[in-house]
Amino acid sequence: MKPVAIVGVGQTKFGENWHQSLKQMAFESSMAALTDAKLDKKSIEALFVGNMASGRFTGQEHLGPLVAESLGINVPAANCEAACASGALAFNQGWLAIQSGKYDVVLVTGVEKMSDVKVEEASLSLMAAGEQEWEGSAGLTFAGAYALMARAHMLKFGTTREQLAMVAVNNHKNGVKNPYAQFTFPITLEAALNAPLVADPLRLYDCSPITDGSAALILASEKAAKRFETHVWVKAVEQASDTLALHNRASIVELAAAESAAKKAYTASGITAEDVDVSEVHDCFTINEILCIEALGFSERGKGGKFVEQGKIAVDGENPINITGGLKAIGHPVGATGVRQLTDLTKILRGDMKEFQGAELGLALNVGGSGATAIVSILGIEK
Amino acid sequence: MPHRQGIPPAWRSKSEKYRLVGSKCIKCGSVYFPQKEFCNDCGVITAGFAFSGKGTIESYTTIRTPPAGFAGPYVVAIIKLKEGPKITANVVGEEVDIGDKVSFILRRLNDTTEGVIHYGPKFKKGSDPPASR
Repeated sequence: MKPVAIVGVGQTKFGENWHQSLKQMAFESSMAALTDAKLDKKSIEALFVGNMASGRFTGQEHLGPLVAESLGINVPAANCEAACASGALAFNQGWLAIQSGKYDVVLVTGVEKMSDVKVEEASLSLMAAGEQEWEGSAGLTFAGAYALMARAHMLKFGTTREQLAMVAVNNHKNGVKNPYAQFTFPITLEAALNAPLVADPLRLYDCSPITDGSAALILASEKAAKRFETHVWVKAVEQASDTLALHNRASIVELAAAESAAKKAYTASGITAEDVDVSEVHDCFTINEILCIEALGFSERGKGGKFVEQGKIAVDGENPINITGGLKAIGHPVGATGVRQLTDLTKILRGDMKEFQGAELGLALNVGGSGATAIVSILGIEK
Repeated sequence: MPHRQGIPPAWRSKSEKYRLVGSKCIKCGSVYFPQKEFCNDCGVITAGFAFSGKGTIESYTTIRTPPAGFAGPYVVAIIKLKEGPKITANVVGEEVDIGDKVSFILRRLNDTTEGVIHYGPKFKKGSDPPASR
């Protein structure tokens, strides 16, 4: 594959952005990425939008040209949907568009406006990413789907409630310093363990929140990248699929698609799990950070909980994960998250985070649904 | 109201949802639930196959913050049917646990659409499905 660089990143504040529409947020993050890249919007050749469910959350579809219109540009534009992995899907499509040779400079914008509907309606809309005939009609929610995986993982491997809670405590702690995060307060282990039940065994602090937000990045071909000041190189983007319904999988205690995407991404970039300096993984629910740790090969299967308990995921740990707060603290605007993971990873690799210097290789794992889509991206400071 | 509770989808899936009818490959005998028109492995056509309605709980959760159109709390479980395939469905009644034997029952679901009452599959603890269903 040809070298492609991320040359600019931007995002909005994540949270309940009452004052902003979907279009305004997409505009703000895209302009922030253009400013970061010191790029005139007229140089954008194509636009890929990541969005999961704006048709249900706001009634608005056809987001490709809508976001282009917000920027006042006329370029080919497409919306990319893969549930909560829509952001990384848009990134993958942008990367492939440059690989095709057709474009040199591409804008990728992830956006989701979730707070305009009631919580139970948001919950129903999110569940549209699950299988409808059986999971949906039984009233399963996404918290419920991950609860089914959590309970089976706890029984099979001895993963504990405390280990799940430690994920939330770690990610809240990391979010405190993130000016874009929805939650900038730390939580105690006790608070996480005693929070109200959402879907047993998952409690409130095991769940990422409902969030409005947008994140954007600019991709450039090797030739075009010479015009820009900063580059973080895309070393691999790999995607895999699994069944929508949990009940159609051989095992519900692992993310087979994530494992498959990770293996392909390690091969494509010529690195191993041990080489990764920092990662952004999809902690939509605490159990999923543990499942991601195992799928990425950071720990053996079944040992992800122990890995968390040993403090390896901490900012100063062996394997720092979600050091800007993760979906748990930053918030999870579903179509924006996959792009936000990559904008944060880019900033970390550029050395923008004073307290975290020297990382050379970063990995992002964006998961859609209960694991039916998984996209692993590997970024590096060298080509 | 969720789109999925309309009348045509309920009518389309009535044999699956009222009587647990899946399908069986006429060549290799692989069984499918929900039904598939063609066998995944052989590619040949399948025939209708009624499942026994007996199964075992593989995992479960109690939904306490239900989506629009549902009233909680209620139990959702992944049930491995005796014949092999797994499905997701509600389990009614008492406390359940992984490994519990359950059996199919037909129950009125939570909503009606355009005057039509929706029925669907749930499961209850115990290995004896009702004699006629």
